[in-house]
Amino acid sequence: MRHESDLETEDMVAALSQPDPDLERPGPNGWTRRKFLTAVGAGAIGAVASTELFGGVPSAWAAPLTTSEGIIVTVTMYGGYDGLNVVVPYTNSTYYGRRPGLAIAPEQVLQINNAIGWAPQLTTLKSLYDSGQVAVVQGVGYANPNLSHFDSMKIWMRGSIGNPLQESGWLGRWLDGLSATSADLAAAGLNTLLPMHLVGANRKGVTIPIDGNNFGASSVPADLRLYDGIKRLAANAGRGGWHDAFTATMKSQLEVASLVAPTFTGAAAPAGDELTRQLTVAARLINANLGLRVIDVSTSGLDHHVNQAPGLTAKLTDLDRGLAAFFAELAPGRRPQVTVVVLTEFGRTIGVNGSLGTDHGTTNPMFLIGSKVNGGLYGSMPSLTTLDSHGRQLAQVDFRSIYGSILDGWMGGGGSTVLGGSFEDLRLFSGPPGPGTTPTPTTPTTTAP
Amino acid sequence: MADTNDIIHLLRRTEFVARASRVAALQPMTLEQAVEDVLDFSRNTTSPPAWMTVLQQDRYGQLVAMHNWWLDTMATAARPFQEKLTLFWHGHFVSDYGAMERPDFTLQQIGLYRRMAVGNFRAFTQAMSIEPVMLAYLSNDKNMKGNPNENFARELMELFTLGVGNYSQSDVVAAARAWTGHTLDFETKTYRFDATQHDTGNKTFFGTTKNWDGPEIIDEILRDNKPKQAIAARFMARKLWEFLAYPDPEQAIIDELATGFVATDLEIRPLVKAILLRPEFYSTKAKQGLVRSPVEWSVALLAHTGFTAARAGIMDRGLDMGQRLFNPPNVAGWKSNGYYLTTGMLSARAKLAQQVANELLFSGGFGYLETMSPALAVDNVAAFFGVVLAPTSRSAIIDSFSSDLAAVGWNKRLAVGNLLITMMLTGEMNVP
Repeated sequence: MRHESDLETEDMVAALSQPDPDLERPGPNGWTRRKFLTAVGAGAIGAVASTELFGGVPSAWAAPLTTSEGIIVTVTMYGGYDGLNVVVPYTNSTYYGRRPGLAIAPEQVLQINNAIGWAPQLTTLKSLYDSGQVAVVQGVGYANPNLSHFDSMKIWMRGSIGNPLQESGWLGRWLDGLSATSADLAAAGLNTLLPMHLVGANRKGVTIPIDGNNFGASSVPADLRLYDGIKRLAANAGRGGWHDAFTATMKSQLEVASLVAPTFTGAAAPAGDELTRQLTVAARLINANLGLRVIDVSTSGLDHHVNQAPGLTAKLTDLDRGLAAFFAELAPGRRPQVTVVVLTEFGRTIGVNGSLGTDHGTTNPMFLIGSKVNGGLYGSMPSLTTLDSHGRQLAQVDFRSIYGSILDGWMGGGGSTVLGGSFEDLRLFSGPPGPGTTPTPTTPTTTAP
Repeated sequence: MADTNDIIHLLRRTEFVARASRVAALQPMTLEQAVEDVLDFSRNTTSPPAWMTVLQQDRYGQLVAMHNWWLDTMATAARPFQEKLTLFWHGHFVSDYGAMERPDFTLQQIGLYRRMAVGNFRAFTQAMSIEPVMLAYLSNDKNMKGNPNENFARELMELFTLGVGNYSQSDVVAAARAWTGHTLDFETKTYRFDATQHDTGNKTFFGTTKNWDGPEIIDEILRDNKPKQAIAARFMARKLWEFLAYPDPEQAIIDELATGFVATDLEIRPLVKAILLRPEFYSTKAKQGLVRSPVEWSVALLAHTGFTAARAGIMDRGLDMGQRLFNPPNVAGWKSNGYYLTTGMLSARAKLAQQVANELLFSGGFGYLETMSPALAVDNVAAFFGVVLAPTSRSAIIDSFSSDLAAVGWNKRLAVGNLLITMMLTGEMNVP
């Protein structure tokens, strides 16, 4: 009996891609200048009086990073990948017993140790792991998991459980906490729909189309005059908050477009599957040093209730190729300040279902990749035999520990504010972002399941 | 005689734009007569061409044709409010073309929504639940005795009638069991009730235990259980208000509308009429309260330019703008206002505006603007797009156009093109 909704994950992604309408409503007197401008990601401009918006791009828009400011690229894999077929317990008899037709044969697995190994498609990930640059956090989830897929996704993207005030995403709340100047173009999603985790209470990330075919990217004089003319309209028009929110977003769009345009002009069109193209563009945007500190790329379709094997194989191939493309494209000088974080919702069932697929579970491994990552295994794979009352694995690591460890260890702090509490510091990094002496990493425990 | 500004607002919110002929027709009327007039769907006489109702070999081509036909109908129908409400129901009783890739069934479903757009809500809910694309989209075709699938049962209550928090997980389980066996015929893919797959055991739904069947669940929510019916009435009154007037309405308005809705046994037409006759519908908050969704903005462009959807190239931009017909992002449908205000989505609107401007220039229009005074030209273009510019917007655009004319030298078309694009991207055009 399925407990969870069988919704397509793409559906839920989009449902969680914006805050609920009541967060957006203007106050009774119309929006305050700062609130509506910051709400559309215009960052510093919010602190500036509207009359100063005319005539020229405020210099605050481009705020290049020093080499010691941490950058994350979140690779969001919607649908909940089947972690047991990603990090495979290839010597575990329960795994094979409960997954006839779906379990990965032991000889195909790329071994990590004598108990677990990578799915065969993950050759890049394996080689990064072997060079100490991948942290595998096992058994990620939370206590008393909600079996509704929809609710689980909300919890995961918001970085909070059951708190009705947290109608925003964890990275969005991080964005809220930045100083006005640093918030400019700090967070971007590379898909059409801005995901919930990039939406804060007062600020939200921008979205950048990866085909580079952005309005506002031209440098032809007539087009520049067009853009200036549109930007001039971003002012209090006396027609209420929504009018002004629209014109402010158009202005932001033009400014983002002109900032990112050089990253696209003249560059070879990114090639490969969608994830690989997004990761290629993400690397280029980082290289261009526009001030971006969070870039979200994503793929969906991991919700394999039916005939999982071909779909998951294809997605893992895309992920592996995407990671290879990313690190190939990323300028070496930027590597010490970049961490890639692979995130997904919480896992799938241990057993195969009647359709050669798996249903919604409770925990998954997640990965951090980078030259400053403290590589190795964290936590342990949850038991396949000691299970919860619904027959699912028991989570070992609260997902908020990962978020908190990233925020405090890599993004400059604010973990407990963003998450509304303190969570275990997993010590995922061997040092702060940037070049500089790396202290000897402590070897985390590698416990067999 | 109703206030002209109120008539214009009423027409913008119901017929996508306030066509001059419609303003003239409604102006002599009282507001109530005007509302009756926009609801007079007997004036709508067009239907999809016969070939479009039958499955064609080229399914995607058929889908494109359907998409464009519907947008064109929104722009040109005698009473476009019927199309606007159909759009509402498409985003409420959501399903997606991709569920079956059957353009004929998708068209059939939209046809149901058009016919029942202002009908009885309970009858509507019953009818939509057994449409093939709905059965496929929410997996009720796979909901079988012994292996129930809760997808449809959950969304029926969470999204279609009651809203979250007004039922329990055990109600979902019971409703799912009640809906087992309501499936698709293997060959024809039309609705079929398979008694062998139907769970005839006792289920406890909203506290009553019996051998519930699917349609009885809908009756229990919307007729026989007064408290739940009242919740549903408030839920739908709120959704319709937010679609037509502004988000986050005052509870008192919703309570009154819902009381009326219950009193008519859930007839939609009187509810919509009541919404359109409330004084709050004509408040400043309402007039400034809604951002045109991509479809609404596109239809406004079609209505003002006279272009077809195919010529304007709307479909190719839909997903990037955040809304494409037959492709809702999820079972909760499309959201509103801030949802569409992302940099990426507005880039797509702007590119569509560029395309439309090119088409307008290509068709030889607007040459006369080149010799008019900038102020007159701007007012002319604003009127063309049905835009009433705020004083600050107007002077900014006149100023930009003047500088642009001076800078382009002989090639004034460039400046005219920029003016056209700018007008389509004003706050006034997008939040009319």
